[in-house]
Amino acid sequence: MEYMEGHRRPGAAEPALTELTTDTGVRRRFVMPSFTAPLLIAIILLVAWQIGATRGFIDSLHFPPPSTIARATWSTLADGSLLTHLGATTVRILWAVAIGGFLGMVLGVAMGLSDRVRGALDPFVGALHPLPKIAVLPLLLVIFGIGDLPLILIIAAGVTFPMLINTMAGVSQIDPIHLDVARIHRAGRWMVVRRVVIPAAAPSVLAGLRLALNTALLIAIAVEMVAASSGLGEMIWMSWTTFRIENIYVAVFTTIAFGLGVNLLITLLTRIWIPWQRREAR
Amino acid sequence: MTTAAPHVVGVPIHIAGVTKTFESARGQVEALERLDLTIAPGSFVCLVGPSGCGKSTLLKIIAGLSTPTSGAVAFGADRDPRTAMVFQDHGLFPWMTLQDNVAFGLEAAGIDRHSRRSSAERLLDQLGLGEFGLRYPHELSGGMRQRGAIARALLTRPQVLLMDEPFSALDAQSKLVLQDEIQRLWAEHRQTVVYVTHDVEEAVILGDRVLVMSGRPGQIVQDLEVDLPRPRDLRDKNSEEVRTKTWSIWKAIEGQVRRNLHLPS
Repeated sequence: MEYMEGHRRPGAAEPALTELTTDTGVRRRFVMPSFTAPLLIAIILLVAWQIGATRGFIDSLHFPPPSTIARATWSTLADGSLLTHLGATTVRILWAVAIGGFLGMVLGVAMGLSDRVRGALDPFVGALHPLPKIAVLPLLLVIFGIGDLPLILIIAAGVTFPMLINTMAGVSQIDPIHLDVARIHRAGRWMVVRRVVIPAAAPSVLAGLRLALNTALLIAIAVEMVAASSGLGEMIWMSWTTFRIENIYVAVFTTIAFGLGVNLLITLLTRIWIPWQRREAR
Repeated sequence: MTTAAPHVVGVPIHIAGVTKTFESARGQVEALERLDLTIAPGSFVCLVGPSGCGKSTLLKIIAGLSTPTSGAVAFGADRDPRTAMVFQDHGLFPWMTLQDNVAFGLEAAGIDRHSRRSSAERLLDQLGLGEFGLRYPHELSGGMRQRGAIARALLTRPQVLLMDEPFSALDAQSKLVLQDEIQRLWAEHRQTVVYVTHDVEEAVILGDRVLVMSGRPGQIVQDLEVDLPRPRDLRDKNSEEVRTKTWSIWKAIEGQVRRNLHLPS
């Protein structure tokens, strides 16, 4: 074996390792995906839209030209309203992810580790997961009154299920040898959870978090349209009722940017927290 | 028979009337039936046999990872000896560096981070893996991972070392080198080793004693002593003793292997 000789002659070890790890292909460098083509498409679409709307090929009342939307973006930024709305939505989502994410992870770990817990709770998950969470909004409004709390709870309910299901899947798919290794070394229960179960489930949990955040955004916009005095959903709804069409576009594009940012953040977190997964992830 | 040198850390293993029955969809499967066996402290015992003969089940029972349906395993005066196991698929945690993987047993024992890291480093150095301590398993070759798994098993200074086909996933050449390594490491500490393998020749080369298992339920059909001087290597495969014993073992299990393949005996 080359590496053993490499060890005796330290200078020779590095190239030997590179050679030995080619089969696992890990030392590959991260290649940034090319954004050139999508960027080009976006620019072409925007230019076509601009020309179409200003020349009257498309109805500029419903499709205000990008320049008008840009001006509206600037003025809503300048008066602080856009950031207020974005901030309100973000805060609701963060609370919801904290509450629902925690609940989903705890239940997911318990259900993944214990068949008894899983058997007891599975029917409830099956029944409640498909329920559109917004259906119980009126009920929560009656119980808690109008305010942020019912909105956060509704979003949290939407977050709980993808987190729960993914955590459970990650935990129940742990390699049995890893649990045997922990047992034979007499690792305590807490150490097994902390050092084996959670890291083994981490890739699934992060995949669940990505789904959960997308669901959270969806529900947040919806509930804000109905029962909020701030937030991107409320901004969209108010712009419609006051017929500020360009502001609808501002809010929608902001929502798109928010979603993109969140997904980028998750990708980054995945890379930092689960470096060992890199190879399998691509 | 190996004489107990003063250095022996191994304990004896007494297996008394061990039966293991599994519940399956088609009813009960007897993996082991009333198995009796005594293994001398510090000896290197190989368990060889065809698939499904119960050898891995027996190993798991000795490891305490599986409880026998009836019967018991005892370890002499030591009621709860330090036990370690090396699996066929290294079983290193992909989320830990090699060093943390190797130190896992010490972490479980509550040893502080600093001392366990330095112990792991020292052992990795001895195994020629010193410079790879901060690498993750996916950054290492198959042979290095398996040596990492051996290091993890050895760091807790086990009295009983159980190995379940540890080298069967490796290429033939890495396997030869690691067979040397394991003999050297065992000679240093003289743990009681139980080594499960499919490879008849490997069993004879490595073992002081080879137990041949066959059948369902699994039984010991041959019990051979191998009295060659150590360390043993490739050249010993040509010795009369190894050839005769390999052939005898093969004859004892060939029928079962053929039945497993649905071939006429």
